[in-house]
Amino acid sequence: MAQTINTAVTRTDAPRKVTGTATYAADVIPAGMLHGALATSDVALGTLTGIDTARAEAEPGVVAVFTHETLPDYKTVKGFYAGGPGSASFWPMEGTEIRYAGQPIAYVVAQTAAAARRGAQLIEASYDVADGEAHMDPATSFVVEGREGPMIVTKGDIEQGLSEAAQTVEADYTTPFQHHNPMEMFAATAEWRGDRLTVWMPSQSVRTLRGGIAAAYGLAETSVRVISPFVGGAFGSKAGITPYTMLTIAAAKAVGAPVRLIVTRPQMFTVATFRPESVQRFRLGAAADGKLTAFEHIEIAQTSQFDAVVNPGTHITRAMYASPNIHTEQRLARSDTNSGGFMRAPNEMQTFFGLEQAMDELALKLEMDPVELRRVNDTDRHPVDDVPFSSRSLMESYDAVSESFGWRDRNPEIGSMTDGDWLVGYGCATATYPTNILASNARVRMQGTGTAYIELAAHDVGTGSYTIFAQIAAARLGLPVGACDVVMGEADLPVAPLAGGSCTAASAGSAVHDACLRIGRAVAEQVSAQSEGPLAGVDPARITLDDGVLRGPDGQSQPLVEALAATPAGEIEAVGEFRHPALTDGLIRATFAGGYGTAGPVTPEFAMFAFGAEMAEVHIHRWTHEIRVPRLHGAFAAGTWLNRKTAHSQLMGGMVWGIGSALHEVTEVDKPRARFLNANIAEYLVPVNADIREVRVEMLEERDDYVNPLGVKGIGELGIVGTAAAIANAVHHATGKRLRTLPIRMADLV
Amino acid sequence: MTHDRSRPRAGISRRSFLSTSGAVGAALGVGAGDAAAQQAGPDVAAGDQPTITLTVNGQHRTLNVEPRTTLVEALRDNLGLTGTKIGCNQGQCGACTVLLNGRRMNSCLILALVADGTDIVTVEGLADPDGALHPMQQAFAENDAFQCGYCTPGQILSAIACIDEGHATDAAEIREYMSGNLCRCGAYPNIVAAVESVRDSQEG
Amino acid sequence: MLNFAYHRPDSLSAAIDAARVEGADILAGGTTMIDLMKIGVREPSALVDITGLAALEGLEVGADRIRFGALARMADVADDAELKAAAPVLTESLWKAASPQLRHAARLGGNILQRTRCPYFRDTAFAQCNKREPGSGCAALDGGETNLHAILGGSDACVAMYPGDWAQALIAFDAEVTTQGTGGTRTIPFADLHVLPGDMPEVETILEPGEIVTEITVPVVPALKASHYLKARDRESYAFASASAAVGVEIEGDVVGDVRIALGGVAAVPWRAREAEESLKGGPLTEETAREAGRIAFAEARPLEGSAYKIRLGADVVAGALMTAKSRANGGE
Repeated sequence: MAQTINTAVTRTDAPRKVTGTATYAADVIPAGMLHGALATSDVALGTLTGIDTARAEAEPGVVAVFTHETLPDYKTVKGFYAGGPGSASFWPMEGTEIRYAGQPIAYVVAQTAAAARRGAQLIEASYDVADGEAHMDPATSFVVEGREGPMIVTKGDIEQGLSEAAQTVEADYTTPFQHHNPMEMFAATAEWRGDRLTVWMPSQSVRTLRGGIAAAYGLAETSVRVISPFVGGAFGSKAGITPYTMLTIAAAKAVGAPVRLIVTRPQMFTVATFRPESVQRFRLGAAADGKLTAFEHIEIAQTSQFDAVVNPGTHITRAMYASPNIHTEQRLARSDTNSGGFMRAPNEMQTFFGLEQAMDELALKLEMDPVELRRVNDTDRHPVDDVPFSSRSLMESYDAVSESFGWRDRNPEIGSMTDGDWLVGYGCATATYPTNILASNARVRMQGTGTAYIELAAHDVGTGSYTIFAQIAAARLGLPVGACDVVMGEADLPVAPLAGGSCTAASAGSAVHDACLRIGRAVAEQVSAQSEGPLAGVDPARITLDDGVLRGPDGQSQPLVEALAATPAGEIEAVGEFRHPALTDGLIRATFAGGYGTAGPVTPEFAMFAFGAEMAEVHIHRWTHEIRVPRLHGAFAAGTWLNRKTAHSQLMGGMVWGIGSALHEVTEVDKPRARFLNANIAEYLVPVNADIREVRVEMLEERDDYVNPLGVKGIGELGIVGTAAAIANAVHHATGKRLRTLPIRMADLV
Repeated sequence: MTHDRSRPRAGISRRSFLSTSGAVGAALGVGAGDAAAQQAGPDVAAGDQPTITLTVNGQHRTLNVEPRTTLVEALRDNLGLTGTKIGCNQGQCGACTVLLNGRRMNSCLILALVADGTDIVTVEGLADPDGALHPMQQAFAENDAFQCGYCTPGQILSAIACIDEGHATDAAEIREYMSGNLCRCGAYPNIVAAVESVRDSQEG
Repeated sequence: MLNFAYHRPDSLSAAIDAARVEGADILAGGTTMIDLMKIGVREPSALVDITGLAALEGLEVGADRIRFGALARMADVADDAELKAAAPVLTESLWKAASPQLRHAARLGGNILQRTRCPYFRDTAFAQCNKREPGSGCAALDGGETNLHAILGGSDACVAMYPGDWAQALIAFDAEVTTQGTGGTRTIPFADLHVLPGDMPEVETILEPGEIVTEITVPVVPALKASHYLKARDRESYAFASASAAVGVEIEGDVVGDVRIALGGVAAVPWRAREAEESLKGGPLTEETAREAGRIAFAEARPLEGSAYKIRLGADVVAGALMTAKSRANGGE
């Protein structure tokens, strides 16, 4: 491998980010821009019986106020869970129906942001109020209908397996509503010039946005630009087309000027998606030696009244451990909120909090070391689909983290470890993330002067994509990383998948790789046809590109950049494709249509997952009952590490997120009014710097030739997955209290 | 551009009190029932658009604002200095941190009128005119102390102030005194490493 | 946020005259006021910016008393080495509050007058809030969430919790507040500044219109030196207290002479726990007696469904704080 891959490379966009010159959506100010603001409903359910905009219109600086009755040319799109590009199937401001608290009811346009927000404050609305419930009732849950029928999987006989078990665990684990809360607030700036529209907004999928917007307005895609070069965090919240975008587009058209809306932080809790609350129901049975005899996982997740929001976590949990009897169900229960969606590790955070605590409980009953329980149930074949894992380093991860963490120093007796005023607990848990494989294109243009441009409609949402694509091109083409310029974040670029499911490095990176190989072949053709040069006359079919050097079969060689400089044009471009053999036509078509056609994690040939293991040391103060995590270690294997510096940050950042998911994050609900209560980033707790002490990341070596030509697996969400359970298990070790509801807080320990 | 942080750092005044004993009324020139109150300082009516002057990154900037215009919006929308970010607009996240007369503050909670006449440093003012990065900017880049980069301008200004305040003695203190800057990407340990490296190179 | 008239008086008398006008509010650091104006909870027609009154920014750590100018900044006072040595509870309850950025802007006078974090008060979508709209009801008590609410000092009209930290140190140590208003100057016990919600939760203090806090004074007693502010919260920093305690002890031999206890994060107003103090005087300070004092401090607590945990948590925090104060009395940390 060339030295630009599997090394620690400073982000190529670092200079822009540290100087404040990286342009996020709200940093663009088109000439004549006006400002928008949303007014949202006070009630959760009912009908808007009246809306008075007079005071808003009278506010100095306000230019226009739109309601459901007065906003012309407001278009909506089909919801994601109904097969469309939208974040939800129900759209505000189409009629008088109110279906969730904080639903947009009016849109104010003004000359300053402050005037627009003031106008929104001055909207007066009256409602017929109905009783709404924000929390789901799990007793009303129903099985999800997937594309291939009900999402139930049965192997063997679960009741038989449980009855044969030496020990069983039967428990429910509960996770709350959570919100993505990226640091960059949702924003959209829309500018019409005649029939041409430009939208600046932070996006995980510029092509999805462009396609949906163009179709909604009956425009050719080439008439619509969606621009998102930098995104201040997304985590799943900036993927679908949301009402705040379509409202802004309509408002800009109506007022005849560009309009920028920055959604307020409290509004971020209602106008887009979130992590639905859930109940994870487990029944596990094991023989005396620890081998599972029964594995049942029923996931009940909340959804809105108008969408079936499915994050199929049972697909992930059932891939972990061997068991002859397996039963899983995906279930939903409805309540009166906006539609949730996918939030960082959407299938994994909630489910592994349950699974990895259930395994810990089982280990205790069996009087086994929890690590050894995983070992006896480790498997190299998918327990349900019975295909081999393309690579799997679960126990290597456990062994590595056990070593670094000092797991052998653990005294397993409950409450036996202390440190001054602190009770000490150790806990461990499995981490995993499915390898999603999607079709992608990428265009690479190389110049004989020694520069290359890599262009694709992929995204860097903090993931480091700008850098790794430059590294891949640099490696293949034999150029310095700094000479490879990556252009992304515009829909007019070659198709790349949505930046979600940790798929970008593997899928789009493989397309970049392919484009570079095509450049090699094309240049080889040209130089072989020349009369002079080291490769002149050599059969091009026998010339290979070896990390920037064209090599013939008999030792002839020429640096690619030199060969290119000798061609007539001195420049060449190629569009690369990544089409994994497991990608069906339907999956490819879905991605090209702006959807998410993944062949992973299980293909007819292999199961593809990244694995890891996490260990947490928690301290619980004997007086304040505060729970702190002085050490969190993780060891992970995910195939090729493209950039060790940014990969480390991804994994570490995931573990930090995991600490928050365990100890801090909960969106509180006011039940009578069915309204989120802590809709701000002071009372919605995320970790602060002082919460994070030793976070150690070990990146193991692993080779996987099946997942893609680069051997890369996605890691952006992996670090989260084992953290909450590792912490909960550690809390149990310290206190004897088994806390099966997130977040775990002081109030649970007094 | 080096910025001149003109505020003295030597602790607060011991002498700024109204009185030592007794004659408060006399010291203020106010007696009970004195109706001839002194005229207040600058007066702005609600509908006014007063002119203020800010020294931003060493440059005098004059601009018109409304009373309700906050400093962050004046910087971003009036002056086009979009390096300072809005993360919550309520003083809960620190993304909008600037230095005002040398103190780190959330510019979303400061009225532009109140900032009139003050010395502001934003992220745009840290690098040298020839482009050489401020040591803290360099340290953030090298230590990968960010991912999405949105909180980064605020983190960097806060980090510079954290060292200047003397609150970077050890890692625990840095963590505590950098807790006013949220990072959802979870770059905290790398941020601490960046601050430590700048502190060490300043001391060395 | 609405537009408002803005005045920046250069004298206290002018400030008083401007602030007493109906609809006017005082602006100091702005960390509470601007926040509440943005979310529509406060809508003053005029702001009177008193930060030009430099005479109010002092700090004096004397042998008999400590004087704080009401406009001294939290960050500066928190960092004062002399104050930290003389009265650790007074610096700890400052640096453990808010964030460095907020502490650089916020002034002591504003800090003691901070408003509740009750989500029903702060979100105008909730029609029922007797504090914000007198007579409209209390959403928290009408089936709402009460996990952040007061279990001491609340009423049937309001259970909003006073979230401040520094105020607990002040009330524990018999601070006094000096104000200037249209009626002249007065000095009152800090304990009298805040009033219980009763049936008028919209009234939080005894301050008259235009009355400005100018100075806070704390008498120096031996217990101030062996003092501590312990704050329990779910994250390590930049969060309000779930329960906290400001304490100080004077111990001679093995016997507690003076002991101070105040409770944060649990009450409608700053809360002095006098019965708990009395239970310790004249006897030894042990883990057992400390726990008992904590229990006594919460004996009259009215548990709400969501905040019942504060009774146990608060009692343990009192005990833990006393243990640290005891250690300081013995020359430790």
